[in-house]
Amino acid sequence: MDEDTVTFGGPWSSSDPTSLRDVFDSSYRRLVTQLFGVTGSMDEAEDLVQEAFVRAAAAGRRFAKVENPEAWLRTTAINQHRSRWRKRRNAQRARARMTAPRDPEAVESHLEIVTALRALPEAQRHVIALFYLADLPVETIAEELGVPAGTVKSRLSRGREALASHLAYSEGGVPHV
Amino acid sequence: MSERLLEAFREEVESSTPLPDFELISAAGRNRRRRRHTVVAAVTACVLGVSGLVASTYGDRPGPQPARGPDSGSLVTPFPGMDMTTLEEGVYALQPFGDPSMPELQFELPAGWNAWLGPNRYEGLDEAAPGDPRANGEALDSDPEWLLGMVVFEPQWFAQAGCTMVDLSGGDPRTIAQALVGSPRLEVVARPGPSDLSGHRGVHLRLRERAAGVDCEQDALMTTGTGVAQYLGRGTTYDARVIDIDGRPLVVWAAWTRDAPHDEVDDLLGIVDSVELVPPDPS
Repeated sequence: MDEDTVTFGGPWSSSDPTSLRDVFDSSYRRLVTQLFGVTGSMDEAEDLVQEAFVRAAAAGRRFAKVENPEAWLRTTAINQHRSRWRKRRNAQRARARMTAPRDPEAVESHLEIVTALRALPEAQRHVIALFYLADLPVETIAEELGVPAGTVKSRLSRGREALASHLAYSEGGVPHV
Repeated sequence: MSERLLEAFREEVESSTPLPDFELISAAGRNRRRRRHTVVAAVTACVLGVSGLVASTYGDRPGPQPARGPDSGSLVTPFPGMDMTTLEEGVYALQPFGDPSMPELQFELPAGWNAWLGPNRYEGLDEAAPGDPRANGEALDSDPEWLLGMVVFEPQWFAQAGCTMVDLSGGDPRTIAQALVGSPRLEVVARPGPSDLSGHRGVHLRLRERAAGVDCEQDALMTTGTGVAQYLGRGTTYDARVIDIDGRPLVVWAAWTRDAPHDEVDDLLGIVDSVELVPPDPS
């Protein structure tokens, strides 16, 4: 090797495996939206998704072997949400990491649906969010939440009814199905 | 109605959610993993230390020795330079271009990295005969599928459009970062942003090499105080921290080729994250 040359040498090929950065670019916003639906809180959603990505980065080579990275991140975020004791600490971390201000009008313009989601029992809200915001089929939701598919179906049905009822009520109408 | 509202809600939130800085998230993950490793290593060292195995292991091997006495509370090994040996895990100290007036770079190195201008790794290194510099050299010279590493240098001339080079010797970090951004074969992955290394201010940016366009007679990315930095090939990522050391620019340069395994890149970025500048001893 020429010692005057600062090079590492070597050829390369054209394959380019998916990196955590690629997953971040393609899935971050989608996951925040889904977790917003699950938690009813934008701050909490951003916090949970960022924490899930930190865990993925900490997992290193183990995360590279995950078959469905977005599902792994979503499950990690939802599991954290269930561990409520973490909430206060994570919120502080999220504020420290966030660099860009959010557009409050974008969220407030959907106050009606956010309020209706928040009014749902948590178990129904999880299912509604995963079905409508993550586009997951019933069987996959059942796997991710660790409950039978029948339970998902019944929560979905009751959640739909409750959501429609809340929305009708907020518009001043008569609750209906 | 609720389905329509949910769909509109999804579109609105997805389009308006700001992306945080991925580098901060990635660095937080690497730091977390390194802390775990440090705890494991500390526990292991305690266990082995009780039986005297740490001392006997180091005593049996030639090569790197602690640079600091035991009173310093840490084992820092001088980085051996281009001797093409495979290094032990540890904290290493590298004197930039051998200039004792420059601060020393100290960094944590996992096991199995090759001693070159800086630490590097490449396909075939693990299969080379341990302790045989020729084997490490032959593996590097045999066109490995992937390679990566970190070097530190003082930049001088930079490639610019039209097959020209611009002399930025002694330039400030922002000017040098802009020259890298203007390099015709590099695209910006992360725009120049403020950086701080042990209290020294600078600029951090990340670039990726594009396919070669115009054939230039001088096909180099830049020249440095120690040699010529050549292009490593399309898809190579270059992570640059340009630091101001009392008016002199110092570049901590990490590079990984397109096919470098993710865990190897993680280790490289962990090494870069661990870099600290230690001021020269006034005595």
